[in-house]
Amino acid sequence: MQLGFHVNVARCIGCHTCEVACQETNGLPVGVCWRRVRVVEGGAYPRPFAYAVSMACNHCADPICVKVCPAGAYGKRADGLVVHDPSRCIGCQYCAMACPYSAPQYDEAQGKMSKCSGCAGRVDAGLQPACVGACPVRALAFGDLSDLGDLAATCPSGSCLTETLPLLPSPRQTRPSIRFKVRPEVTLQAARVLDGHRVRKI
Amino acid sequence: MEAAYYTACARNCGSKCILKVYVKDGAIVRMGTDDAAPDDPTSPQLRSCLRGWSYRERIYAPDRLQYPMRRVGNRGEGKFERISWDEAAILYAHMITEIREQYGPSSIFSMDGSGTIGLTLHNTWRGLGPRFLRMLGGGTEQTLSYSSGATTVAAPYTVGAVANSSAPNFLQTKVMLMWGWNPAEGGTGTNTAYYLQQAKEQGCKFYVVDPRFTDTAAAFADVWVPLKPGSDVALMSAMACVIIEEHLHDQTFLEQHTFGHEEWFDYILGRGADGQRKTPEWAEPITGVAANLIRQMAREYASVRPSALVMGLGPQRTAYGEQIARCGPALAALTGNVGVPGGYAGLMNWMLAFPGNGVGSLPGARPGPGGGRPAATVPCNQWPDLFLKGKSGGYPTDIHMAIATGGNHLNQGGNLNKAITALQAESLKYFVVHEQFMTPTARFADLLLPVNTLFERMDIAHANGAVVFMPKIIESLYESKSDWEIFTLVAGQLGLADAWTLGGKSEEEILRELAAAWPPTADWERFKREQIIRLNMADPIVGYEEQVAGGQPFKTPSGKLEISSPRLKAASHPQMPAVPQYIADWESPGDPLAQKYPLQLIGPHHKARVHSSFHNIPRLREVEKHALWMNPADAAVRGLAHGEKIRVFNGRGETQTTVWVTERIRPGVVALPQGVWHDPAEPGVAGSVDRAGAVNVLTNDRPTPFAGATAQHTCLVEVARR
Repeated sequence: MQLGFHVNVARCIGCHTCEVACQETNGLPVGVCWRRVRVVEGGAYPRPFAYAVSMACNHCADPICVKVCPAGAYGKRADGLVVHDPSRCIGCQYCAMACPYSAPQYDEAQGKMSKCSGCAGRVDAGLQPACVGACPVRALAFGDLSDLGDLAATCPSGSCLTETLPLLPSPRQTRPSIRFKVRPEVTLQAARVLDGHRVRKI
Repeated sequence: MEAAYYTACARNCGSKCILKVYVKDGAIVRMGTDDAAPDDPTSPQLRSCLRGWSYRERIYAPDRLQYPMRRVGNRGEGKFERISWDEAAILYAHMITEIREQYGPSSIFSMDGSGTIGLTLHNTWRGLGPRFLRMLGGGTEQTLSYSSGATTVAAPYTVGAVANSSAPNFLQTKVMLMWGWNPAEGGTGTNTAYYLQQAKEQGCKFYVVDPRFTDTAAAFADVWVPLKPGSDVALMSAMACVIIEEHLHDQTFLEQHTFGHEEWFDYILGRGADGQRKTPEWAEPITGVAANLIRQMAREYASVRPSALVMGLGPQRTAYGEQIARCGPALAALTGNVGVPGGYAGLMNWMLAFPGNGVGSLPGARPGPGGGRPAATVPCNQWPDLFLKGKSGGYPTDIHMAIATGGNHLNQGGNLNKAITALQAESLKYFVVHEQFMTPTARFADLLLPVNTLFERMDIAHANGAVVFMPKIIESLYESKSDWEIFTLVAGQLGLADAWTLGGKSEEEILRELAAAWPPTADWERFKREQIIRLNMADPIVGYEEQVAGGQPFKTPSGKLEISSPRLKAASHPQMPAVPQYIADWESPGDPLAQKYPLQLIGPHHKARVHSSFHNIPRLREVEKHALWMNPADAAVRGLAHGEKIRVFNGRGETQTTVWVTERIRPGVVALPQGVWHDPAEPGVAGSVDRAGAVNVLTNDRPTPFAGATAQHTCLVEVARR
């Protein structure tokens, strides 16, 4: 079993509700976003394109945070969720440097790292992660990867399922447990990635 | 012990969603959203957006107003001293009595805003403030709205009464024209974007007509049509020309359901007074949209049925917004898409349609029998001019006192610097502000009263797809009170407490009586316990279905959809012709002023704010930073790099912000989202440079010619590095 997120990029309207719902549910301070909506912009006027990518921890099959943490603060549960134990964390930030998705984040007030647990506590109680239940367009889903669709298949609306996107690192690095549903035209070169209104490196 | 309650987010984004509120030891510890029923596609959960999720931080914001205050400095300087509620009530009542005795009832202006809307008891919008003045015998009330003023006046000449359709209606739509409509960022009804995405997945083709490649365009557009602001009627007219000349119009529909289409055809086909055929080639230089694209959009809109032309309200907030509000329905009627499932009547007001309910309304909430009458009325957006000129400016009254409830008019209206002079006019003796925060408007108060939030009082919400019992979840914070309680106190000073409270009734007693009028809420204790009565969303509401399919008349003199209006012909207003016509905007690219200020400025809604509400929530400001959108071509001419500090200016004012250089906006157009709080270098000084990027120091307050509505998107500016 490997739990993971399914992100329907073709549906997402970039509203950031998932991001704020995650912060509110998990009590995160301003600036710590376990789930982030990044906007990819490209093309040129009058034919620009833009799409939003909501991503949290990808609960990788081969999680590098678990490997590099010198304090043993990370663990992988039987259901595949990668969880972080703040009581063990020494705040060294190795995990943040190693993670290709910038999932672990430094909480200055605590002096420790923190990251998306897949709302493990809610999942254990039979609930969905907060972001999934918050999405106004139902673009997020969560479950066993084998139930989230076949990578080889094309979806009925012409969208296709992928485990990576332009600008993301190769999935071979950590084998992320994530599936993206994208419109065919969205496998394009991108000009820049925007994280809120902060331009991020390509 | 943690408890959870549901409530509704009753704000003016156009949606009304459900919030879940977790409480521990009398304090709200966490927010959630609708999880009270399974998320059934035919009855989807009424999930809130990021603003609703951030509400806890708004309730407990460090800048909540805590106690009543009286001004001690100059008006607008923002200097106050604390007073007690007893002192405040006496002072308030004294102000009212003095002004009424000295100048008459109409000299008191209700500056009610849309801060609280969609409720049964605590509405501010056309709500408690006007009710209070009418109980005294009537003051001056506002007409129209900043949102939809031109539509409110002009559309009825065509359609009688504006009737929207519900979002599930779009599940049958095959071609959608989203015209200046941006539900991905601006609400217009809970679940609207969700239904639209389902339509898209079923194969509906989307055109998005907007100078900006909005988040809506990004998510939906198969084709983006970046027109110049203010050129909408030229674009629609050229589409009509293609449709008529290629015989793609629905002649049967025109003959059965419309009046006066021949006269419109004459205008479109060049047989009218101007002799100009409104061809795509004619429209191309006006709109900036290629003639071929106009043809393609016209053919597809007319020949694929059903198709829906839905207009947002932005386009009609321009110099001749009346024409846009009448041309949309004409175009929809031309193609026979009015009153049919999957179609749309070419306009919109506030939000899409939702099922109604039978909960009663607060006695006296609206003017009329039992509610009294206003002494005078003036379009809301004209208040600065009204305050400054009064009768000498042709207004029905002079104004000597204003009561602001649930609004931030200074920040949100056109020509903010003129509005400052209006609030500082000597003729305005008293300015009372009911507020939750020290907003730019509140800084000008003579008497500033702290208002609680919708979590601190009981109400019934008319949400989008549900009726929601809103319990008083926590006690009022600090010394804050609801507007209802404040007016009860002042009414007590004036000997009118019984009239205000309907004979000494508590808020719960009033709500219970109103709920009794509707069977699903009549069992009050059960309604309080279950909280949410869901309404039938599965069956689409189709605007004008009863006229088109059911044979009922449109509410016009002819009973038809009046493409040509005999009433307007009789009125013979030079800028309000009988058929909708393209009239070139003042302060647009053709204006000599464009030599000096060559960029057209629009002020779109921002996804992290509801107008000026939620501006002060740090978490939301992180989501998407405030900046001026500019095309790289315009930035290159000015030597501006992405993210640079800039100043935006024209003859009315100057604001400082940063530039967001993007391919997502048409060259020649810049966009600065409305709603950030004005932050002048010198508080209380009109014309002082604003440091927050507040768009309204740049916008105008010149009203549209016929409706007298706001035209804030008709605006020219220049941009330079600072």
